[in-house]
Amino acid sequence: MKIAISVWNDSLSNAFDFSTEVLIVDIEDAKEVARLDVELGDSLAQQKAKKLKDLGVETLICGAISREVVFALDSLGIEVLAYVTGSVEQVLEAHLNNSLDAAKFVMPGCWHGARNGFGGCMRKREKHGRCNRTER
Amino acid sequence: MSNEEDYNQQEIILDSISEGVFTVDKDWRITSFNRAAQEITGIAPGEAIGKYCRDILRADVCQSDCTLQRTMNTGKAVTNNVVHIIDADGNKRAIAISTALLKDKTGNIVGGVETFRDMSTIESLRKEILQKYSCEDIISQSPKIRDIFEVLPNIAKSNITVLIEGPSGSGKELFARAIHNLSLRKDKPFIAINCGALPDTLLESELFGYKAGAFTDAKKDKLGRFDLAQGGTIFLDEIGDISPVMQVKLLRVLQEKTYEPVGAVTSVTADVRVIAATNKKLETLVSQGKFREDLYYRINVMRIELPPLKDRKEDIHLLINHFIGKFNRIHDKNIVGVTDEAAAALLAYDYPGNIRELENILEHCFVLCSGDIIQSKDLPLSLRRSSNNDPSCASARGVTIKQMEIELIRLAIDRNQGNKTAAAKELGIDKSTLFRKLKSLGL
Repeated sequence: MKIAISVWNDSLSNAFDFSTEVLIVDIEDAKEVARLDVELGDSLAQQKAKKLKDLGVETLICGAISREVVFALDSLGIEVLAYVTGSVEQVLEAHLNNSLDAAKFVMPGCWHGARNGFGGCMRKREKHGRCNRTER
Repeated sequence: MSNEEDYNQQEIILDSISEGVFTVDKDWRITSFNRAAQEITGIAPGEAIGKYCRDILRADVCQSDCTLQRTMNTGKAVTNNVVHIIDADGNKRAIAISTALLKDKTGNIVGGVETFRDMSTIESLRKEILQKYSCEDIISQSPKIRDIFEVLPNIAKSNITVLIEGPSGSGKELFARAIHNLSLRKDKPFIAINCGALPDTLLESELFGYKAGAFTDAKKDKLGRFDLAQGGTIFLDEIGDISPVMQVKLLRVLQEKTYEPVGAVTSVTADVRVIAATNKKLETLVSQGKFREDLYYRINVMRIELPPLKDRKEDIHLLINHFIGKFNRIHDKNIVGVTDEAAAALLAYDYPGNIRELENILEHCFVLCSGDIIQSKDLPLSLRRSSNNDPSCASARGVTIKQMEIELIRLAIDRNQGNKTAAAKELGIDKSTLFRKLKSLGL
């Protein structure tokens, strides 16, 4: 399967809506087999979603993301693992080891439902008082 | 006062203000985060403190042109830079940020401070107003144009041939593009050609292309505009200027949906929507025998008539704001508007060149304007002459040439704050000529 990581220098980009570059990684049997840097440019977020679909991406790992873009990606069948922070290599390794829900990879201030793709991790985090939606 | 008391007092002050404030250390980690910052971003201070500011603010400039970094590098404060962030509710919000250096008691730089206020309400109001008066790239609050806006989506979806009539510069191509963009052909090409600009033989090969060997220098096949527009839309501007021979050829394309490239022996099917435009009255040309009646009826399936700008003066303010925004981006300026005097002159003018002329006038102003507001002195001379206090209006009052000359010189000197060299330059005469005139006219 192919995953895309929204990148900025060696780290994850803070917001997919404003990011211009992704790293596409081909994964087989939980191992990286190929990688490719792809420039998304300043196109609209919905166009970026379409481009990811055209590249055959099944999962996107990114930082903050707006609801409208998640819906766009969702409608194209792309799974979103959002509100992730850290270095690209560490995040990729954690994804391959199925440990992306570790506290050090959690970006604060995510909206309810934005981290559904992490399975049970939301419950864990809320228990530990992280990634809680702030009362406004 | 102890340090702890001092700190608590600072926190109370910061929490009492309505602008979001956070501070960072030299490693870009947040060291304080006030209540308004929490309200705007949706992130609690407990979650924000110690984190990289880019992970908390999540602004579009964080990874391209960080405002705080600019201040840290140059030492210069930045004020009211409008950026977009993603808040903790997953909404994109517009905020205006200001940045400054944070120094300790001895004057050493220890980090930066960023203040920001929510602009989303202001921006949503601005967008609402713009949306109310716009369709694709066209802006208007004129009832005539808004009537067109209402029918434009239906016209676009219908796939019929459209004729757009209107004077030069009234936005005919913009409307043609809007029809294309609203149609099912929007993902296919939009090809525009000015039929009046080309002689017959060239126009034919431009429209239909040619085969190798069709004429001298035709060494290989060339695709015509109809080929390039396959599946999309072709915009034939100045259709009223084409010759009778070309009118016949176009009629065939519209009737039979086929054409032959120059030198070809087989026909090509044209799956192209045609939008034609003219600044002439085609009906009049038909009655004069200059335009084929059958072609006119083929083109005139749906007619859109665009009024000249002088008949939709209610749009001038909207258009001025639109072009100011556009030229601010192009010329990297921050002009906020025009003075009442300049606006009055812009409203009083008749714009024979229509919107294109207004656009050119404002670009002229942008080049000359040195402040943040366009003034009368930044307007082109022709426009200032047409305003009411201009001596050219005096002709109606029966004044002499000498009196007009006195008035013209006096106004030029006034406009240039008494600088006679600048006044002479503006009047297009030599400085010595101006001095001679001043003497002879007794000024």
